[in-house]
Amino acid sequence: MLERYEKNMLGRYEKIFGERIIAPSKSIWHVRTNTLKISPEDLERRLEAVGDVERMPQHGSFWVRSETNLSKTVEHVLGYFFLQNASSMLPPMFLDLRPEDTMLDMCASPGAKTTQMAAMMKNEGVIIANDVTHKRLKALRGNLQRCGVSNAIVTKMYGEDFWKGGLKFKKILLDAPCTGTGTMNPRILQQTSHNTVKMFSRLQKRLLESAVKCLDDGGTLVYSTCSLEPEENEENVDFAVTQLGLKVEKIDSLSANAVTEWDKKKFSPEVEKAVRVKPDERHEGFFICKMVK
Amino acid sequence: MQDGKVRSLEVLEAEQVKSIENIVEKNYGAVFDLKQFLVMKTPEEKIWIASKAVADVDFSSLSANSVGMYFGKLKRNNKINLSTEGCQMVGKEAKKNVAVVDKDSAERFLRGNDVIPIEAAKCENQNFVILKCGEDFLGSSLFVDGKISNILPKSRRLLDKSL
Repeated sequence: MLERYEKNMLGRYEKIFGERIIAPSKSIWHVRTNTLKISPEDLERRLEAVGDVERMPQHGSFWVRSETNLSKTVEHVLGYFFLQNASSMLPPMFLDLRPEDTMLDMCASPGAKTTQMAAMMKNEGVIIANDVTHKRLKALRGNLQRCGVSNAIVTKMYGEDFWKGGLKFKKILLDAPCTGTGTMNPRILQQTSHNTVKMFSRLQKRLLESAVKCLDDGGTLVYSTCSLEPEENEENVDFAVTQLGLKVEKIDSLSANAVTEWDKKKFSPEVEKAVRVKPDERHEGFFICKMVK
Repeated sequence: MQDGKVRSLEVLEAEQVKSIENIVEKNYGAVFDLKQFLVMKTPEEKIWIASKAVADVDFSSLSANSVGMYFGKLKRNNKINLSTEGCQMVGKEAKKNVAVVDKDSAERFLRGNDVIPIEAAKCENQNFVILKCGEDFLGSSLFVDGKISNILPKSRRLLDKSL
């Protein structure tokens, strides 16, 4: 199995990034302060008691080197922080959220970005936080409660059918279900086949279609995945541009450029404005694209 | 709140909200402004709060699973069992029915054990009290004969070491 992963996947990633990539470190905790409950300064002081704390560029977030399982601490139970990879904190930042917004988080569970956005909106406005299975909704509801989020309406709908509800939004986050290969988790990489990638790619296109139907004219859609696969990322942005009429807005380049062609297919020049986060010791691989209708 | 329960939520009028504020004040000596929220109640007397803007969204066409945040449950004799978040909101202003515990007892409480507070001067017997450790509000439980009888939901318990 490991051999297959070495041959199939790492080869692909070298081609995408032009160099060999490394997996994120498992000994570093990624902590985002829940500013609805505690200040970053107070949390930092508490974290310093258990490990080496380094501030992330994102305000109020920290990398912590610690042997303590931070998910099983008093501070976690009380909702003072969310364990969320540094890369995963980026997509909400491109939505320019304001407290008065009503926005849609189409695939919200387990709620890392939802709780982040609630804090960005100061628990005002409305977040429609949607997901589909009972298990995923239970996790989402639990995290929203733990973090003291009071501006969310949790809905249980297939994302592909969400547009049938008839609601329109100016801001939508589609953090799509994906293979998760950006985590570089060996188990995920071993289990990911080309068929799995294709299956997710088709689902993501259906979700994009639904999201675009829910988006107001002039509205913003941020599409993201924690996948490294061009079929789940650039190919879908190309689909959104050429088939759904969206325009891509340039965002500051993170650590790697988008792929401009893949599998003998050349993508729309718009796709170049999307960005990738290259996996390294402190980041999972991520793909982010900001689009406007 | 579970699937299907959203439909049975009653949005409370100003007068009803005021009566809950009165219950909070009577039990905790805290003047807490619930009117800043949309306040809802289930048939089981559970109180949920949401941002006011939620009232402007017509989500009747969506399959809503929950709305806002669980604040607490109304009990007999004008008492209220606050959620952990309700405790954290009310606790800062509370002047009575706050039981102070030390760090060791705080951890034991969060693991689901009964504990003895180090300070409970203004705690009423057989009432729900807010547990406090340092600056942290840990949740609500029953104060019975000088002890905290733990009723913290399993979902809010600590399973391992703390910081």
